[in-house]
Amino acid sequence: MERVSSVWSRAAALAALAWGAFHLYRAAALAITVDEAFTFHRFVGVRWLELLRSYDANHHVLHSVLCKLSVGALGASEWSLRLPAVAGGWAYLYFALRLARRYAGTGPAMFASFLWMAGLPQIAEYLSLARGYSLGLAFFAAALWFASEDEPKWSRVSALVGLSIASNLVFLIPCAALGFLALRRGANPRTLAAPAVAILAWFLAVPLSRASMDSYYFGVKTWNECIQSLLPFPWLKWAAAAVLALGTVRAWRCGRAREIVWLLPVSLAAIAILFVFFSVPLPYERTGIYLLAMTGLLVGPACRWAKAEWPLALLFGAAAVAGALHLSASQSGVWTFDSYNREAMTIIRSQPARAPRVAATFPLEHGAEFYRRIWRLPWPEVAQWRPGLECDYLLWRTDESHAPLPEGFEELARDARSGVLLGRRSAQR
Amino acid sequence: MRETLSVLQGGVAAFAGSVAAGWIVLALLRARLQGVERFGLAAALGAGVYSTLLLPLFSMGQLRRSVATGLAAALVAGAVLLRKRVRQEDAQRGPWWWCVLTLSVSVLFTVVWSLNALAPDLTPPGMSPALEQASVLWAQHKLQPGEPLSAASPPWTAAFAAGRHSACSLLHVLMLCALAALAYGTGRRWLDVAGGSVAALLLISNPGLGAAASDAGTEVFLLLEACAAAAFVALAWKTAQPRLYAAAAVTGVMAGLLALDPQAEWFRGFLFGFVPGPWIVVPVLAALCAWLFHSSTASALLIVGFACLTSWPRITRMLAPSQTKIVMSANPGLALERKGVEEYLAKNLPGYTEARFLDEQTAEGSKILVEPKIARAWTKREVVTAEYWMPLALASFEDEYMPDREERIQVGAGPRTSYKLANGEWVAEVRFYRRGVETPRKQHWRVRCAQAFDNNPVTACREDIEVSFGEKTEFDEVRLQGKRGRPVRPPQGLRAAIVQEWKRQGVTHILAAHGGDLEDELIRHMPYWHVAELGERNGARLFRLE
Repeated sequence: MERVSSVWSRAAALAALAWGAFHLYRAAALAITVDEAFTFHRFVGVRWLELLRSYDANHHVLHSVLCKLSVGALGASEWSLRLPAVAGGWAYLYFALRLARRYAGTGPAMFASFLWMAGLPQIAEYLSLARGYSLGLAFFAAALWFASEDEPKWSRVSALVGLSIASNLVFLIPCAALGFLALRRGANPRTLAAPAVAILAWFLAVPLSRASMDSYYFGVKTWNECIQSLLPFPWLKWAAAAVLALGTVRAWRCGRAREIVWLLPVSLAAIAILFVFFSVPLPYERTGIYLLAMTGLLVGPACRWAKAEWPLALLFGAAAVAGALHLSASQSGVWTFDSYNREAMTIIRSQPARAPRVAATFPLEHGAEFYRRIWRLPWPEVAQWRPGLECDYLLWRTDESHAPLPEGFEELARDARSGVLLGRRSAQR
Repeated sequence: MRETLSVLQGGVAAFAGSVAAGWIVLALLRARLQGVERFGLAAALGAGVYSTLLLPLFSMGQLRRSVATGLAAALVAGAVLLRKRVRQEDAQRGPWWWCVLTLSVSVLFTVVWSLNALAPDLTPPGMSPALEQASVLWAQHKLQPGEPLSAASPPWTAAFAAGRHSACSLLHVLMLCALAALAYGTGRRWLDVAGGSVAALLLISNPGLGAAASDAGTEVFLLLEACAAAAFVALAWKTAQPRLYAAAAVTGVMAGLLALDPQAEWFRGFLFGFVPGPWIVVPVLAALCAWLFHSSTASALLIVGFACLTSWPRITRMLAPSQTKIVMSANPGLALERKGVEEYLAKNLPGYTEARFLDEQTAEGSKILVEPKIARAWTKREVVTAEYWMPLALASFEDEYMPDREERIQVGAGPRTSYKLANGEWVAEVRFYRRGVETPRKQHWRVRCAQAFDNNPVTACREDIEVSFGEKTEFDEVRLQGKRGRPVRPPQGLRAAIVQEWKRQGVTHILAAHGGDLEDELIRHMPYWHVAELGERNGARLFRLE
């Protein structure tokens, strides 16, 4: 690591520490979300054999393996389930900081670049959620860091690329783009491919033997939807457009940063090829997370445009911070309805009924069932609500339909933020 | 144990004969090759030569275990005499532990596949032409002139002569070893020791190749010949040995002939299972892996470790998708001691025990109607499967087939030269009447639906009826006996008529399935059927026509 001691680099390190600490806290404070609970039910809370021989788009294999180890060692809880993702998040922040220093120097542009890579809402959301995105980002950022050295060890880069893809299959695209850049720099194709292939064989060959094209269902069919999901606020779109335009031109002129200019277009080309020829959906929200990280690499060069580093850094940094401020420690930005899961189950647990039958509107049953399992409650499995189902308690979503509780249920509690009602079977029935 | 030794003798002798024959030819060609490479190439080249030597012996009726073993011994002696005529080139030196690892893992997997091969007959039921021809040749003791042969038939028959199906499977497993040796030698020559080891280990541990090898098909034999042909061409070109083009031609022709045999589809392992394509892609992918991993020891060990671990039969069975065809788990007790063979066979190869029973209980030349499903390759007797003869048997006791109806069709008076009737039901007999008197059938009548004109009420047909009388014939009524018209009393002596028809067709025995209607009928009315029970095996009962 380059020895730098500027105020900005110290500030960036402090910001990284603070942001990491926030995610540590968030991992413990946030109620479980549907995708995390699904991961737990299908891939973590099952036998090793089941973990290895099943596949779904939700199955981020290396992450699931680490979660299983973590849950096995520390016991099942939201915290132990999220530990690998948080560790990945910390590693990502570390390498994002180093990449920002490498491509943006030691001034305000570096700080803005780091803020962009760490604070954009679609990135920050997953630094503390039990999914494979933060691990994938961390390994990818590490691979990018080692690949950008003057005399890179390509076998190390390849191993990191393999681990990134094993963490989450969506990183196949940026890793392929990185491989393209490595080949342009004269890397030996064998050295570049062998470690990655060996690692991928160990982690992915068995699960993917059960996959089909239908397994890759998550995504959208238009570029507009793709961009809307990645950059949910108007000011972010404008800022990202400016970063892309200015950063690309500036980086192309600047020797060292020129290599990163190719990452984004090659990735986009790969996405387009997969979309057009293989009907793989376009990235949606988290599945395009690497595109946002790549944009962050261009912030540094963009800030140096026309020697206006200070104002541009302020602009881009403020956009990133404004996005980061939308992140809550008690509510997921994606699965807002899940924030009441833990509290609702705690209320039901405190009720006098011995083995209540709990139901929930889709997809709340996953989160509720997670708590039933980790608290080892001897209740029937939480069921998905359907008319006519016999149950004692009902978790009812109102954020989509605004429908009242079904007939025969009375309101026991209500969560204003998530819009979830907790209903109890009426006594007079 | 004696049976196991016979299997080992059959498989090993045929393989040794092939390697020795190949070695002799390489010596005559004064080939210049590297260490292990020689054995793989000799096995591939020798299989064709050994086949050619066996054919005249078969034609002379010398199809015996001792003859096949003697020929193999003579070839081995010749190869030993000429051992130094195949000149050895210096090979690349590499880390010793790669050689030890390759050898030990290869031996381990060879034992696993061999145990599968040695276990009672893990052969597809009559699906391999080479095995079926070996079985037929063995039954006939002689190669009939003009009989078409699979390229693999001669060595397969030589192995079959000593140890039957299992010996052929063992020979096939040894060919997989030859393929691995060829991969090791070729990889070592063109890449380095690590490359050769990776290629060899990926091939020997491949669950698809292992499964195919431990069946008596010819897939691995085909791959060996194809790879050897490619290797000979490359050697001839790169090492300036044009004589090796002849060897390439022989192995290429063998590969071409073997490619005509149908190929089975087995699970190709987690490493190669993703790649679509025919069987030939497996060695190509192994070569690609060798090229990719040979310069990175850690990656090479990782990939080889993964391939070997997930190819272990029990692990493959646990992890692989359920719809894939996977090798059976090796069972040493079953393979070597033949414990619980009957139970094993009844579970894994339905019909096999019954086939052996037929061979034991019936004389040569017998023709047997069999109700249980039996692959023809498993018995030397001629068997006729139920779908061809069961309707005839059912005519005696099943209402659906019994000729218990009669239809009388009035036709206009006057002479005719032909008669045609659209039909869709079983008709056993058609007769023509004039004023209540039957018009006798004539030799020169030309009929369609002949079973309705044979005076046998149990033979019937459902096709349209057509008669060309060849002269003007007068009749005013046509009577159809079978399943058309009003109910009538069935004719007497149906069972005797059925037996008479079977005897006319040369049938000598009936094998009835356990618990079926036929078995019940034959036991209840044995005197009417004129049959005698010979015994029961695995539930199936064998009857002889008296």
